Amino acid sequence: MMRASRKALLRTALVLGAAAVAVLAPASAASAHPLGNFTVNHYTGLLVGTDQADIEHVVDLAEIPTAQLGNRIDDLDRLADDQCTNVTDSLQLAVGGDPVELQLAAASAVASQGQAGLDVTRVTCQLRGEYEPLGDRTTVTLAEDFTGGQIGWREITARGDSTTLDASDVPTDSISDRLATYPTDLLDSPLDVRSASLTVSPGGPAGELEGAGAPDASSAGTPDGLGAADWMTEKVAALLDNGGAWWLVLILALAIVAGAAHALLPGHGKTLMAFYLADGQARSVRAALRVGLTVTAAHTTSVFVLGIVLAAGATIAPAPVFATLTAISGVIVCWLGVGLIRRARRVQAHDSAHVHAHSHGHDDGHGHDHSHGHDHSHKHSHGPGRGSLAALGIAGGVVPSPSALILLLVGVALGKTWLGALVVLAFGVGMAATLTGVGLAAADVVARVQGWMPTRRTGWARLARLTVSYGGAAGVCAVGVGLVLRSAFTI
Amino acid sequence: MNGPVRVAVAAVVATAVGLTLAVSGGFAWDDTSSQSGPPVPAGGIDPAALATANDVDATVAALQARLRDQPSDARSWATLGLAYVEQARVSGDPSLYPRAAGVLDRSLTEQPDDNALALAGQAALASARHRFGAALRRSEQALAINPYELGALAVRVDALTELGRYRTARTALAQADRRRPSVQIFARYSYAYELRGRTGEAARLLERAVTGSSAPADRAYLLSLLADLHRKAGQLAASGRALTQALEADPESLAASASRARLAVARGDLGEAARRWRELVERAPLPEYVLALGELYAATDRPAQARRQFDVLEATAQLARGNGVDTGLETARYQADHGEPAAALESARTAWRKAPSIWAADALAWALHRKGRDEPALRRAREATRLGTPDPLLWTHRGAIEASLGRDVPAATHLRRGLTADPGLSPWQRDAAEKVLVEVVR
Amino acid sequence: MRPITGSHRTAAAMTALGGVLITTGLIGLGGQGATASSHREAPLIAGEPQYDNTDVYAFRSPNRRKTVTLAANWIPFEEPAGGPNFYPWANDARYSIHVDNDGDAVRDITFRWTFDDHYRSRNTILYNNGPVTSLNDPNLNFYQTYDLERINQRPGGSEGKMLLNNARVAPSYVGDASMPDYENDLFEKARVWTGKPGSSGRAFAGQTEDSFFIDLRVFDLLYGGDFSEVGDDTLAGFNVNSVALQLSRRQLALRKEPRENPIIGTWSTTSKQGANGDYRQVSRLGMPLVNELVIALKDKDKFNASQPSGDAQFLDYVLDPELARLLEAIYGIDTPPPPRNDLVAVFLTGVEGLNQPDGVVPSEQLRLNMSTPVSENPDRLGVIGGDNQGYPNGRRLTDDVIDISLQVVAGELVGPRYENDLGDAVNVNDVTFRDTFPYMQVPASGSDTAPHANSGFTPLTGGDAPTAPTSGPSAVPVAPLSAVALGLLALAAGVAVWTKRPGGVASA
Repeated sequence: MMRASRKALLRTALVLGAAAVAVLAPASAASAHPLGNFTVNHYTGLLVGTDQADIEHVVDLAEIPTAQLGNRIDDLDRLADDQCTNVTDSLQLAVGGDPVELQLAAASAVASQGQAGLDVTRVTCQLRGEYEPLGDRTTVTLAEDFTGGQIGWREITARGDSTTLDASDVPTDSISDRLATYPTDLLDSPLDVRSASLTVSPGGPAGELEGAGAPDASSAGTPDGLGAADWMTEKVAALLDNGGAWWLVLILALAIVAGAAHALLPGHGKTLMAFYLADGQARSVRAALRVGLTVTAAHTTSVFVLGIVLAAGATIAPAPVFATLTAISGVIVCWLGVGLIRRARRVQAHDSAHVHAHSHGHDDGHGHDHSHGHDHSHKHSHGPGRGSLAALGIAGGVVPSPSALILLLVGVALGKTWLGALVVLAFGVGMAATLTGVGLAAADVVARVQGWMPTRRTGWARLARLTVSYGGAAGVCAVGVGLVLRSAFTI
Repeated sequence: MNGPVRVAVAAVVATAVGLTLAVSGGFAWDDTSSQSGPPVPAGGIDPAALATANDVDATVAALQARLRDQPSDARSWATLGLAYVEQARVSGDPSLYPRAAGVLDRSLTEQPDDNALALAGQAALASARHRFGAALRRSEQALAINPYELGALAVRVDALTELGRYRTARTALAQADRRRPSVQIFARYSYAYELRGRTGEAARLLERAVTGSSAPADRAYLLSLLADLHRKAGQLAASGRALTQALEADPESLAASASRARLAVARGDLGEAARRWRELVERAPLPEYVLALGELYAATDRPAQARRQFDVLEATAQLARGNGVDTGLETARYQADHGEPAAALESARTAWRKAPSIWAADALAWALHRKGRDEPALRRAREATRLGTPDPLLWTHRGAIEASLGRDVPAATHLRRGLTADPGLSPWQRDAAEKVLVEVVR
Repeated sequence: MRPITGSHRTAAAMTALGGVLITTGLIGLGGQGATASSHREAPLIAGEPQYDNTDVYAFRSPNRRKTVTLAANWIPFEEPAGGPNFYPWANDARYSIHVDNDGDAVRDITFRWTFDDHYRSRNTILYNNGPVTSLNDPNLNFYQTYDLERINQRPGGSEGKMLLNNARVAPSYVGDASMPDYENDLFEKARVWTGKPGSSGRAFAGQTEDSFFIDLRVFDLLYGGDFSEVGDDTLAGFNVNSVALQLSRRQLALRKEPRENPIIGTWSTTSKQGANGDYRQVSRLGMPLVNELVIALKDKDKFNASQPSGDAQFLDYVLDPELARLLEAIYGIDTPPPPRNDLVAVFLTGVEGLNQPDGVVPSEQLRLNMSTPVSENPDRLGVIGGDNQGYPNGRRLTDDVIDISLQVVAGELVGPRYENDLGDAVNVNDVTFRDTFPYMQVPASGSDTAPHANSGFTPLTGGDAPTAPTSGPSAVPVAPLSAVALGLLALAAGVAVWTKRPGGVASA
């Protein structure tokens, strides 16, 4: 199975590689600057605070406009100053209808290699404007009127810093990553946004310009590679900054739901649990609960550990960490799977022992009733032992979910670590609930299926039962092996 | 629990479990939400049938919305491709070309057979990138499927003209007019007349095309062409009026701005001309405009500023070489006059090989002349003027070459012909030609 | 502690599941976020709408039954507030309706409209500078006039006769302030007699409310869509330019004998002047939707430039229509196998015993039998609805041609086996028609701020429900909602099971 999947992988890689070459080759005939060699592209990021606004403006000059600069490119500082002075004059910010004077706070320019040995230039300007503290629902407008009308991308984004944007006709995030990567969706036209109009009210989470180094509330310290938080997590993160008891309740409730939802995503061993519990049958409610609690504990622990490490400033790339943890859980699952196989064999042996016993007489000291199915009580437990349940729980919970991690980090960033921890705990509870519920339900179904199966110990009935139990065990092994493999490839 | 209830409960549970596992296993729920409200008319209706205000930007937006909703509509993909090419032509933004290419490819993926519209779009794209051989091929493929495809008919005419196959282009034009009389064809007819020196007819057809077109960008473009014709005929007031109308229709029109700069030269107001060229070059540093500004500085005794513009042209040429993109003709002319004759000859030869039009012939002739090879230069110059095109440089170049060969009488005639062809001729070129003329008539 | 029994387990499981499902469902619903709803405008590729004909109608005038009304529309999707130019007819075009009254696929009579522009003052771009209360009002800065010529095509040569010279075109309905009583001052006044007042000939040219009613999303069928989202009249609130002509049947019939030769075929064309001055046909329309539903994309332009006498080249499209195959593939319904001779009857020759002339040469025309009695209660489904005076026997304004076409292509005329109820759920026009010539309704006003508000669902009358199964992309998030529903169900069941005392119930 490993070979087949590796071969498939190789083939896919080859095809993709060939396709990439095919696509890239003719593309070299097109202009290298993604937006054309003679474009001048502008990005403006606006941050509206209660009494001051910060603007970051980036200008991206392609090869020809850079060439047009002539020797001015040799003095980058002067160039930056000139360009940014021009920018300051060309941007108009108005708060509540009154124009706001903008001051240039910083200017920098960088030249880098473009195509055909020519340079391209990137100028970054930081501007600031101050005004009277905002009242509720103030209209804020930003317009640019660069003389020259150069062809190029024009983009504006707007965010609030301790203010809330009740309405905005521009997004909060740049789709070009501040002129670093221009999107190439065929159904999008190059942006040409030259003005923005917002309605702003005081009060809201702290905010930062996109280009700022420090983290902001909605992605507090998320190292790259964690992936975007989902809808619900973002809501929780946004709520975290608000105070009040009601908010607390709401946050925790949402966190539980978020955890529950998160556990529904592929992974976390739901199928695994189903197989396992079904096979183990007895006292599944308690077993399931136990597993659930273990999952919560494992998950919360791993989130805390990783969160503390990250929040302490360590620059760890999450991907290998996740991969390692996935591998660990995979190994545990494999071990469980092996255990299941062993158990299946024991059951089989038991069955044969029964057969033998029956042929010798009824009394074999087990005191069971043959008219039941497999649901009989034995002195030696057929159910999953506590150890395996714990292992199951660990396997399901050891990989910390990015959402929970983000929530913790947000809490830390906002100075409310305790709240972050509570939220993570609630998240874990939600996860446990889902896993328990799903596991129970599935176990129930499988148990019923098994209950409907004929109880005779010989012939095809036995074969059927063996298939189910071995099949289940094999399935668990497969899951485990798959996990290990997946993590192996990502490292 | 009794039997049926038990079964029912089991069924519910089973379904629920199945759904949960499915959902959690990642089988996504259907999230494509289509929009309610008056829908965009489907692609099954001829998009050309739906035009009212004729605004390419609105068209693009509507098509993008439509395609998000109905991504298998090959016809809309192809139409969008054509629209992107149009937008690029109008705005000068070349980043639309790769998008156009992607969109047209998508159209052909959705409908690989009989997709005349997508092929016509590819032809238009190739033409915009100056790949006229490919443009011709594609347009003929499109016409094999739908002989009435307007885009293909128009691009075929363009490609044949730029490849120097003027007689075939004329036939193609007549055929296009028989099949799809339209503003697009009238404009090309007008150009065909202009190439052959029949400027009266050219102007008449342009006027007809202007009345027929409602898209502001198209009107502005056609009015600029009309303004150029008026200016060349010495009717400067009429030229100015046409340009005012053009800029009313589309204030961003590049063609109208360039024509206004030339009109200022024709009126003798070089300061105004320099201002206009500067504005234009800041907006869109296309080689043609940069060269005009550079030559204007050179003619008005500002060599340092001229040099700056020429450096930009060098950068453009460098890019072109790196890209494999063909801007050979502009490069050749610049190099011949202000740069390296050897580079000029190389560019001109390449351009000639790819597309032996009268313009390429002229570029080659002039490059040869700069290298001192006047006999072959004259042969090429004769080819360049064979249609009788009233373009000043074709004639001044020929005259200068003849002067170089000592053939004074034809030299004087041709130099004069060139100098009177367009009062908006670049002053630097005018000065250079006048100097030769003075020598010749002495 | 109560022993854990099987039913308890079940209850617990179901309750938990219920909770989980509800959660999932809610996530699914919430997570979709706000989809931006954009105002959709008609695509506006540089085309030539002035030359584009949209519909042709031919019917016995309901209030003057000895006459026939021929009408044709051009320039679709006229936004009522379409200034400053509004929608003039082209000057370099010939707008024609042709009549073939002997069935030989060659036109016998041509009615030709040509238009001229007039400006009272060239110094303004305004359509009008002040209220306009009559067709001659000096406040109307821009207006058009038309000539209407009747050309009798004879083997020896054609002979033309001017029916109208410099008649006034009813202007576009700019708005209520500009045209306070558009209907009486302008629309009605543009109806003129072609001969003596009170004689049978009447004419009209001007803007009208688009009489075609259809949900254009049906054409998404071509892209794998289906009829799950129909019911909006896409053309609601848009205007068109119309010409209409009312004539006695004698004026149209072969040898002026309508009793012997009651069947005429009609189609409209637009011809445009080329660069060299010659007129070329650029658009052709007889039966509605032929170009959209029958002719393949690559041949649409060819069809537009072609003559009916050459229609043999399109025969395959009729004998084996792609639309039928699409309907089969998408709905799994059976359509009759090719060759579809029933469609040949509808589209190319006329239905025998109804509107098929003797010795007919097959060609695509709108064929009207001028002697079919006028129905007192017209049925929108025309002939297949049991109303022989309706489409495809001529075409009345109220005939639902898209439903009829779809049903016919799906085999309605072939036999009971192929009966179906396909349709676009738009059964009537968004505005009612007039009782008097030209029957088409006054255009929507340019000052109407929401002209397309009426493009809502048309209530279905009994038996007309479309049978198309709903599938494909829908605005309703199916899976999350069903998850929530099932979750609630499971939750309830779990609670129910839990609360049943274990002792009093027959155990598992």
